Amino acid sequence: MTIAGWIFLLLSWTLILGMVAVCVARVAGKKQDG
Amino acid sequence: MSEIKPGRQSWSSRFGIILAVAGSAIGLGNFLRFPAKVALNGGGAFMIPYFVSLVLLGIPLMWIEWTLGRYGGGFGHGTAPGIFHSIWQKNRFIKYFGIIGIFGPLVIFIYYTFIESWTLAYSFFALLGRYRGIADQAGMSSFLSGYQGLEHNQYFSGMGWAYGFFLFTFAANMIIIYRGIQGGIERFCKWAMPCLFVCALVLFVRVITLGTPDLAHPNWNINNGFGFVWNPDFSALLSAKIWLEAAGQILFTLSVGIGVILTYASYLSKADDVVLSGTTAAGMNELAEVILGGSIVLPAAFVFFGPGQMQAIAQSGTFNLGFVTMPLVLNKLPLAQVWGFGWFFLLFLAGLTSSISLAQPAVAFLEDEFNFSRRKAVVIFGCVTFVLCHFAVFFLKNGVVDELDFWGGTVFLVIFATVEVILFSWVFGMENAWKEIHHGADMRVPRVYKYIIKYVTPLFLFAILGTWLVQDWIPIIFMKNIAAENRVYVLATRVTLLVLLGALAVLVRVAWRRKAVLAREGA
Repeated sequence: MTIAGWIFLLLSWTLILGMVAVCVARVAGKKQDG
Repeated sequence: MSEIKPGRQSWSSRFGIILAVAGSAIGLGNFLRFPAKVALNGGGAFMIPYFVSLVLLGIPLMWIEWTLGRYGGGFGHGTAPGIFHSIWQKNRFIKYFGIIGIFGPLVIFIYYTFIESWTLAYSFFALLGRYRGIADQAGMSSFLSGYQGLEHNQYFSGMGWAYGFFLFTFAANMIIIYRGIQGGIERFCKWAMPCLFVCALVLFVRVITLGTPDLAHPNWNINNGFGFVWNPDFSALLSAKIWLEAAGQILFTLSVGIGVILTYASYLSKADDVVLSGTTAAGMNELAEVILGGSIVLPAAFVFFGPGQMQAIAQSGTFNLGFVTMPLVLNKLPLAQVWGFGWFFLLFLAGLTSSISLAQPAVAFLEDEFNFSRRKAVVIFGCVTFVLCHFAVFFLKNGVVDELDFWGGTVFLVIFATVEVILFSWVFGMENAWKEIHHGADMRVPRVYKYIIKYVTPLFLFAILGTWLVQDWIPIIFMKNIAAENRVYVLATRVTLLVLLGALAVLVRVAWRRKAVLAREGA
């Protein structure tokens, strides 16, 4: 795999994992508050 | 989860509806359609239009559907005819546009259940080792054709297995649907979704640790396998087709524009959040698609078949990737029967969590607009779809499934999404829409989305529709790409779909007249 390929893979994965982590943490946090 | 209109069902927890919506979105396409789209449309560069479409099209439509669904649920409507009517009460005809929100899922359900039954059958065949001895594409294709009843061969002499597994899968769908929102759909998704992610994660780890299994071909390694999918071709970004492919994939994968999210969200109360929940469901779908789906089929196939065959494999279509290439790949691993079972059971769970969501709009329509009991609504839905499913089961080879998929799963999806976004941002009005989105919201939507939802998302959808009309309308309408012997079957499918649309229009008319009479009698 080329360096550009790795950059696209890692950027895409990071964006998605970040999105899921933030959302799930906030949902779990709200559940505890409730 | 309170303040639901009396008599309507509700979700028992927030994670319940998030898992149900994610389950609806995560289907066979995440694991089979997405990797082929990326590899064939510019590799990593495809992710630029993909993420642009996610931000400008997918996420806004997700919020719109969650918001419209919750809004309509407050008036006791769980499907698009009633929800659209609640938004634009002065317009007598808007409820008829809402028919698409029942028609689309119903049409997809007709063929999807049959395909879903193949995954269950193959998970049993994997455990029993029925295809264990097959070592080449021709043999595995023959096994699949025999199973589908397309040919009689040494593997299958008829459609008995296929029909048996179809009956079992259909019954499983009906049982879950019959048990209702909390006791059926939510309960099942709370078990099935973690199980699906575990299966996918185990397969993901197995694939990324494959290394270089054949030392005679040192280039056939997992690193280059990922390269086949991800190495970018920036020239692809100049092609309008690639941008449309990415937009289509986003609509398809998030299950927006179908009508199922409207129905699921209608069981929320006014105080429930839709912004964070919708974004979380979309994120879970992307996790399953980009990270897990993009890392299993094609990288694994590359390691065992090498670069020479990969273009043909990626172009072979969803069914071949899932039911021909992947079993051959897994056959080459130690404990092949266990891996085969894991792969097909993963697809079965992905399929079942999607198909139950496809059934819910029609059932909700009968419950909400005709006051039918759950039992009566499910029995009617079951009888009608059971008959219609036989078109897909017995006329697969004649192009019936492709035709159903084209209208129910592609064209009407874009039309419905366009109607929804226009209704939401222009008819309901962006100020009202903005307030409605943020009712009970646990997260603020960035203000720029006021303009994206009002201008960019509709324009994006018009561009998709317009391009389709210009490029494909004539050959499709006149069946130019369909073999002459299949044209009569395709025509019969189109007539059946028109009859189905007409029947739904009549039902909407009857339901509204009935309500008017009841309202007059009550007054």
